[in-house]
Amino acid sequence: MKVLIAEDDPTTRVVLSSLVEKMGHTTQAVEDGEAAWQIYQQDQSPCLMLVDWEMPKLDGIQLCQRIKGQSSLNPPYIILITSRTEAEDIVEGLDKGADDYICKPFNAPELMARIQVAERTLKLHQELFEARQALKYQATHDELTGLLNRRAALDLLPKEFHRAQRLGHKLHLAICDIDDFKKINDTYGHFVGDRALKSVAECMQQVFRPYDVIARFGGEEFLIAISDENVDAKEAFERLRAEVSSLPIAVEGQESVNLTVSIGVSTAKGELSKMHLDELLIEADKLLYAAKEAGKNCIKSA
Amino acid sequence: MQKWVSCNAVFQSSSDASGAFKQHGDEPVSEAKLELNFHADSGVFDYLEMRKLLMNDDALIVTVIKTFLSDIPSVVTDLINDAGEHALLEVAGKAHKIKGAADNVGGKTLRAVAFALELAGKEGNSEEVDGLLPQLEASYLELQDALQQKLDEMT
Repeated sequence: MKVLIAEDDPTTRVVLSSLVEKMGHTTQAVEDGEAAWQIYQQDQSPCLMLVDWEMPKLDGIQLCQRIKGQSSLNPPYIILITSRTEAEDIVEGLDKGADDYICKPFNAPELMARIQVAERTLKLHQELFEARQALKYQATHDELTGLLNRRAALDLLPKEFHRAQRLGHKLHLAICDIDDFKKINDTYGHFVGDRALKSVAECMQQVFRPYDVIARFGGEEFLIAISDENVDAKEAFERLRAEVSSLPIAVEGQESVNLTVSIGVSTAKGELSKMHLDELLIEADKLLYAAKEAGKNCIKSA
Repeated sequence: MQKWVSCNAVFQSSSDASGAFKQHGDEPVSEAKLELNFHADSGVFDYLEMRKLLMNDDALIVTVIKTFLSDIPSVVTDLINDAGEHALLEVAGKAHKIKGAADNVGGKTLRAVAFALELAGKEGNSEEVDGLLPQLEASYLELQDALQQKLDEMT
């Protein structure tokens, strides 16, 4: 664990650094609160801070307030170390953002025990943070393909439309459907069907940019939203169609399965409203059906 | 007028110690009380306490002594200069630093004087500050000698 020590007295800095390093942690020591603040703002800042109350430039309390004032998903654990021993000082320190408080002259085993408590707390916090991230991912992504799910895509679309509008670009909304998917499932089984879905998703990720919206919209349907910023959208959709049709899915003991997709593309113009978004989706859906009626493996756009 | 903080008076009885620090107003004397059971002969340099604090780590003890001896003389000098310019908050800040450093090397007498100076500085009591300066110098020099002797023994 990386530990930041902010203490203006060199002797105490040496003692603290040594005790912390004895515990197997790496330390970075600074002599004032401002220097600690600068380090905190860097990438991969320390997750534990031992902070003296009285320091030049920025004192420990001000440092705690600044750090806690920032809305960080992963805030550091701060132990305030000070010769102020009165109950009201302890209350103030904890109230202003310190997670723990230890009085000078400190007892080394006590300090080390408190650092162990910090480690435990930080570990739990990290596990909670990771669990929340995993839940957030699960709530917004399709488990099979790793693409965004329908809800996440619909949440993102208004932002994409507004962004495109602000930049003066058009936004193309496409619904892409794997042709004869039911037949693939019925003939080769659901595992082959799943592989088909994953292959098409991978094709999409190769053809489109990381910031384009690509989502599994439901069943064998995918939704794609791309602006025409630095890209020929029609060419991109055509490339997707061609890539999918040239990507056979191997089936053990049988001939490989050739996939094709049909795509309906509508284009957003003007300001977007909820109704407008629904209309665009309906239009793209109608164009998809037109592509199916036109013999599949093709693109219809408006 | 000089008001000497007598180490014996401070450490040998709680009433004397409280009296010494009550001269600085209503500031809490809890830190001073921590040292009430002090034995006068270990006031300058309580090596056992230092060893306990530093978990009997000889290498660390040497490092801490060296750091103290290289850093604190200039802080003491600066404090005396600040006192001469009546920069009492500066005096309080430096006294606070000396107090913390003295804690790390078992320098109880220096700590007590630095604490008294810190309180006097915060209160803006320049007379009290001036009165404590000779004790600061004396207790620092005593501690310095004791630390140097220990350092010579250990290296």
